[in-house]
Amino acid sequence: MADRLAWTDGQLYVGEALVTSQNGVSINDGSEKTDIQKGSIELTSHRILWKDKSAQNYRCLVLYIVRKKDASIISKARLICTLSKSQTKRPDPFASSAHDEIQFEFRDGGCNEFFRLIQEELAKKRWSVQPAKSTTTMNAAMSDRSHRTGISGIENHLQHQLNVQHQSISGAFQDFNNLMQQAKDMFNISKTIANKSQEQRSDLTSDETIRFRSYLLSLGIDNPVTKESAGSQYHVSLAREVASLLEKSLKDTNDIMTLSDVFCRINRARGYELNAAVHMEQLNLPVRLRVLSSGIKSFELTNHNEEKDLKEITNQVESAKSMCADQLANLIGIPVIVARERLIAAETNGLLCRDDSIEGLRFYPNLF
Amino acid sequence: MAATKISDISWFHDFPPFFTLQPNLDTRRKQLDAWCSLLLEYCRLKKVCTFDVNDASKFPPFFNGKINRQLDNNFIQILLEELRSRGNIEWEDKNKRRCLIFWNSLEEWAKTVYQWITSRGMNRTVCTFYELLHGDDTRSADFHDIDPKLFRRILNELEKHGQATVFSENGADGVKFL
Repeated sequence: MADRLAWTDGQLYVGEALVTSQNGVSINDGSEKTDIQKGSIELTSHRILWKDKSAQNYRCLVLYIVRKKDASIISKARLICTLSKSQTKRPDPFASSAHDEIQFEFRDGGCNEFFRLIQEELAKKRWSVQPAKSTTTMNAAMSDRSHRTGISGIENHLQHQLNVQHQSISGAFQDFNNLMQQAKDMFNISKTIANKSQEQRSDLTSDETIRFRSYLLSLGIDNPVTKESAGSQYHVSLAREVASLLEKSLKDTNDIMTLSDVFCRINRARGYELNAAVHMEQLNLPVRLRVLSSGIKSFELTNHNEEKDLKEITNQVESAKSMCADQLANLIGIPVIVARERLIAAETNGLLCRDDSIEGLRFYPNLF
Repeated sequence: MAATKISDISWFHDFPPFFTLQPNLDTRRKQLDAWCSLLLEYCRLKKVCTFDVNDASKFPPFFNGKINRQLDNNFIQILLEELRSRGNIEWEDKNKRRCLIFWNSLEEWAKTVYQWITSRGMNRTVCTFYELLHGDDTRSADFHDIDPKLFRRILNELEKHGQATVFSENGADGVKFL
């Protein structure tokens, strides 16, 4: 691997575009560590550049993406690339190497994102369009167009339009990548603040940080809180995040939602498990996890008043003379399972009594 | 006896939840109380003194066709056991198939019979079981037409207290009140 690296001054070629960059990346030769530690890695449409941030001079190593390259992830933090031999010999930092693969260790996260973008660039293969040649073909096409009419003229015109579209789409995604990049910066800043505040033990800032992270989360931005960044505080921080998000949603759904509903909504952005939910009550968060008597888990607002709620339900049953869970669910807009649980809760409190027959399970006001 | 609607004895009989054993224990306590009162009052009115478990499904208090509800076997067992623990029924056999119903306790019965006899001045007289149970003279008495087995138990109780002597002559059972 390492003999396929080369030095460069970091200038981009004509037609080469920067796709993304990530800090805190080290390069391993195969699986062996090298001197190349903790720099920033940049993916362009043609190459992968590695920059040593600490150096005054702009030294970079470059990997030429030639023909085939396979990338894969072995653990959350490492990207393995298998390289093919480079065509021309350029000045490089390593004379020879025993391995056919190179590993990038992402100490600060961002591995998944980088991997995804590499795959995209490998598919686009923008490096195979030589800059000098492309401009001349463009010119040629344009001069041809002015001379040719008829079908070939139209064909060229269509081709030209396709190219323009392709450019603008790539451009649009470039913007998105830039946004992601900026969000990453914001996240890094927030992390720095969080670390600094933890040293000073200021609770206020950590709350704000967490709120900030939840904004990032709602934007769908990758990696706000992961096991790598939060470690043992993972579940606790996650609990806070989920709580703040849910607070809004719960107000819309009558204060109570089943675990499956919550899971769906959160997972749209995250894809994580919700084991953190059990911590919520301890942390005095506005949302808590309740295990209902039927064994179903649901989320509700902590200021949800149990007594008032049950009295409400009893009144509803009274005015209808009797009710089953379906009717209650339809009436007040909660899931059927939750309606059933509410009725049973009212029964446990002596407000209702049950009528269990082949006609089904109904509840009456407790007239005993 | 005029046809008494069971719901006249207890309005609960028309209340569907009455036929479902309530899981809430406080509610259940009140429910069982209501059932026991209902059953004993029914038995008193209809002079039902014995009960066979096999006839349970036909026993009017145990179902209500109007609201399409009936007690299941489990609930019936629980009710019978509740009545037994209150002293209102006694099982005649080990298998708990037949029982004697005491809507009055034995002491209450003994007092009732003795008071009735005394008020009629029938002390120191001899009567047969039959005339006491089914005779025209006793038509107004609570014990009129009750089950002979129950009656014998009441008289045995009086005998224990020295208020009567029970004997049998020529196959007929009789009692002398003292």
